[in-house]
Amino acid sequence: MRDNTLKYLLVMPAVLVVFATAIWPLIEAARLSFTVGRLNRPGSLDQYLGWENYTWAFFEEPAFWNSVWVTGVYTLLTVGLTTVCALGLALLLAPGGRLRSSAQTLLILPFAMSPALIGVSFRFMFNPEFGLFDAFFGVMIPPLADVSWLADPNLAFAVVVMADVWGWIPFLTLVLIGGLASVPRDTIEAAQVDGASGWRVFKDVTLPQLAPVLAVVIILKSIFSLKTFDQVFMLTNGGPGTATQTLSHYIYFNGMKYGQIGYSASVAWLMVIPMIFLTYAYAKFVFRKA
Amino acid sequence: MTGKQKKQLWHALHTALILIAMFVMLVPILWIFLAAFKSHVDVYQLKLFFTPTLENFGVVFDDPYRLGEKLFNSTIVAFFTVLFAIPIATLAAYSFSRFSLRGETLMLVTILATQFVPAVVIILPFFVMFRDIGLLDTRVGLILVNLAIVMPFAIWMIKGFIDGIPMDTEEAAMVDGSSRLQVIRNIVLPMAAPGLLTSAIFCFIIAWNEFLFALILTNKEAVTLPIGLALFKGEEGDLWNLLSAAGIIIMAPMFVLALMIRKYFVQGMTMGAVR
Amino acid sequence: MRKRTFLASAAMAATLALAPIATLADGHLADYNLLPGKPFEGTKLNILSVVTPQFDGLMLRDDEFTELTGIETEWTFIPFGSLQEKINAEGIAANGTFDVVNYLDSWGPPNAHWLKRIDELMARDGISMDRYPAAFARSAQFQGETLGFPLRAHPQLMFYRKDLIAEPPTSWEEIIEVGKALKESNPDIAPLALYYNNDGNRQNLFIWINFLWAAGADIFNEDGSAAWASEAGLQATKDYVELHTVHGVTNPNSVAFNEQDARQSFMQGNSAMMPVWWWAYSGFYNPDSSTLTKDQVGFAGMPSYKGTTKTYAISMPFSISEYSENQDAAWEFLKWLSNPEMDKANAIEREVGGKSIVNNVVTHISSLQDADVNAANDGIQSAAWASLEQSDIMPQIAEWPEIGDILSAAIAEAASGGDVEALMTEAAERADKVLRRAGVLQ
Repeated sequence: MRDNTLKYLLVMPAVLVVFATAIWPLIEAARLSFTVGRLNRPGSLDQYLGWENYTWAFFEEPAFWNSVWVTGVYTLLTVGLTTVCALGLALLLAPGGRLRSSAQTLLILPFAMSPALIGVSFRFMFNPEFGLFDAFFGVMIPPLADVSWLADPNLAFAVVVMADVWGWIPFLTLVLIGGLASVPRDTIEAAQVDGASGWRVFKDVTLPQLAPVLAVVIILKSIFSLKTFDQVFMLTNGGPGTATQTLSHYIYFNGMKYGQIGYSASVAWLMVIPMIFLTYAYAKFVFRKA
Repeated sequence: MTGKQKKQLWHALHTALILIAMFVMLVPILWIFLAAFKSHVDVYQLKLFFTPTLENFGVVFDDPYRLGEKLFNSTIVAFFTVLFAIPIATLAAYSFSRFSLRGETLMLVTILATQFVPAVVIILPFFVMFRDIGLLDTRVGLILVNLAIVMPFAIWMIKGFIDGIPMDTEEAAMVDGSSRLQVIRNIVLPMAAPGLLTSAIFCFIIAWNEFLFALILTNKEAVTLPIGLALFKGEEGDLWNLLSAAGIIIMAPMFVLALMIRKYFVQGMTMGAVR
Repeated sequence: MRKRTFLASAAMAATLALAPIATLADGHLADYNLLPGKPFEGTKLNILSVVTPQFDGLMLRDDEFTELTGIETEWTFIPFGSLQEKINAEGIAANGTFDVVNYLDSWGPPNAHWLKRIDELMARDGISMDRYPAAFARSAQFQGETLGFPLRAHPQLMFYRKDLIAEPPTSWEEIIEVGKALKESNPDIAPLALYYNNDGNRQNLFIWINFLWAAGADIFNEDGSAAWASEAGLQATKDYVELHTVHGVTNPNSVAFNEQDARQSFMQGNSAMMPVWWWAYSGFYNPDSSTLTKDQVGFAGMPSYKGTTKTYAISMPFSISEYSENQDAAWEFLKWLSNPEMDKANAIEREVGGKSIVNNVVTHISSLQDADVNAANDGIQSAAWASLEQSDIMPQIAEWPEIGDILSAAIAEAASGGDVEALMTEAAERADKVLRRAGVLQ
């Protein structure tokens, strides 16, 4: 067979699978978003009502805007904190040696943990009456001793952020250690010879060299933060009130718990839009490498 | 302080910081580990010393939790997802790596993008469709949707491995009269085997930990381990010791697998953006 | 209507006429109103049930049913935390995996389109919902039709530490006093374990609704619009929340607690009083789960608010799935399962088939008043019967999950320091909008 035909045949199955498992559902979700789409009403999945689901989300549903806000703040905080912590840890671990490399090995563990399980373990850790972290923070920061973390809207939000940052630091650290390894040593040494302080070397030499890798992890982390569901579902289930209800969680509740597939599909589609921009940005980095 | 002392202090500070960081990263895992061996009453105390018991591991496999069934489902679903994904992805990855196709960039970006689509968008239509064709709560259905998450990773990861295999052996074989398919089978596959295994393990972990699809699509027969966690919320509340035992059963095999491929984890996750 | 009554009584007469023969042949066949002659022999029923010792007890006894009818049974036990998803999924999959399903009453209306109406069968076989307390009976009905039998059902009781509190308080006003005194005398223990968290099945409405009803307010108006933001409703909500925010007699973690956490707190000796379902009683002194002994645990009726007591009752009915292919056999099973003798035996006998079963839940009026049942359970059924006298259930509408969540979130936010009036008013406006959108409200 000629390569010219073969090369398309080879990608065919993959393209079909991707189409069936990702493109088709996107199109079908778009269609559903224009229907009444209530699970307990037969026929309503084909009953069209125009843009009503979208206008309902935009103009009539404060809970939607709440989850947009929650997701936005959550993404900013988790991306920022994870990046800063991971950068610090990467700088600490990059030089190598036995302690550092075994630390790097251990780092893989939290990343292999299912996010649902991370959610469960943080709920356990912050249980007000017998949680380890709850007790620990109580001792370290006395004003927090009598605080119920998961009861206070802001603190519960902080716990959700903490769980996410904890779960993602290892991955970002490992990426950044890889990035640091590719910063040429002689440039750093040259700067040091010139008498630059540690901070200046970092700011003027390391950081610019690391920038492309940093950009990649920041975009990637943003995407995963925007999608967050598992931990929130297991950790706070969106509460207290709706203080930790992310968009994915809001969509799940409306679709599965209230049976409003049509409405939840419309919110889901609204969520795809920022993803398109992020994907575009990400793809630029991928192909710059290639 | 002399320069030497300063250096020693600096070194000690670093070591201390590393130890603290490791401690923070490992404490939640250790605490789960401890709780799994505690009795029901001990779990509600902040005890570091207690009489360990293996009872919890027995209870979770017993009625009504039957974690064994979930373990079986998780294994089957993850295994078959990988079994379908890897060959399909390998063929595509080879083609993307070796040829230039019309619309190649578009295809690659689209594949990349599907990984970024929120799972909750993908699942709604599948849920409706599976209801109509009777695939709700089946392992087959779960395998199908899991392909959606695994495929982009697999294609990109394997493409990376094949990119790294030099082309000269292939060309030599072609000159000797081998067909392209023979080349793939006899030369590329053996050389890419470690990479394929790595990708397979990576995808296995992803499929194993998958939560949202299984939450929405399964009910009784096809429930997987992460969803099984919700079982331990009974009328009595969260059964932390059982949750922890189940947690160990979920994470321990993944730890082993992850350690096996730790060098490639980063590559897999970033889909070729970072090598 | 008259025709149906006639048919029913004819059917009943027929059953009664057959009864003596049946009894001779098959022991209890007639006692349970079962059809003679094993018409469904060889059928296998799939039963979806919540995990609870009560139903373990029923399952362990069901050899008798198989013997009488030739119908085999297979029980699937699901822990409560995952049951709601199972029920919803069962209704959506619509393939009749389960013939008989067990659910929480408030999930009935959203799933009523696939739960079998059993009124005619009841009339045919001479069974009346009057055998249950009114609130229990209503909990298994929807729009005047009966969906199932309330086999597991709970009144609320106030549990308290006998070793710390001499006389149980009878009003919420008194609880504040007792609580404040208790904080002075026993600073290590919180007076009252409440649960304001909205995680779970809107559990923070359970006690709140006592306040609401006692104040003469309600959840919905006659026309179906939200009624909780009325003046009386707001005051009741404020008083409920202020137990925590102003009077501080609650466990400081009450805002984080759901019902289960609060029970843990009571069992671990961290809280001295707790209003909760009666079934929790046996767990409160079970050494495997609790640090308390039986002597320490007392119970009383729910306290009054502004001189009135109205409690909330909840049930977990068993119903037949419309998707089942074995609906008639399933009805035989329901009759056997819900018979009053077993209701009693399951709360008296502490061992079934070699397995220990501790259960105090009964649902027939006859069992609640039964001397033997009460003697075996420290008289908790009498207290329950008293609590049930003035009790009601949650609104039975299909949109309840969404409306209830809105309400529950507002109360959780109010308890963590929010403005009660603003939150509840906003919740009411939102609820009305949702109901209008669903076409329920004009």
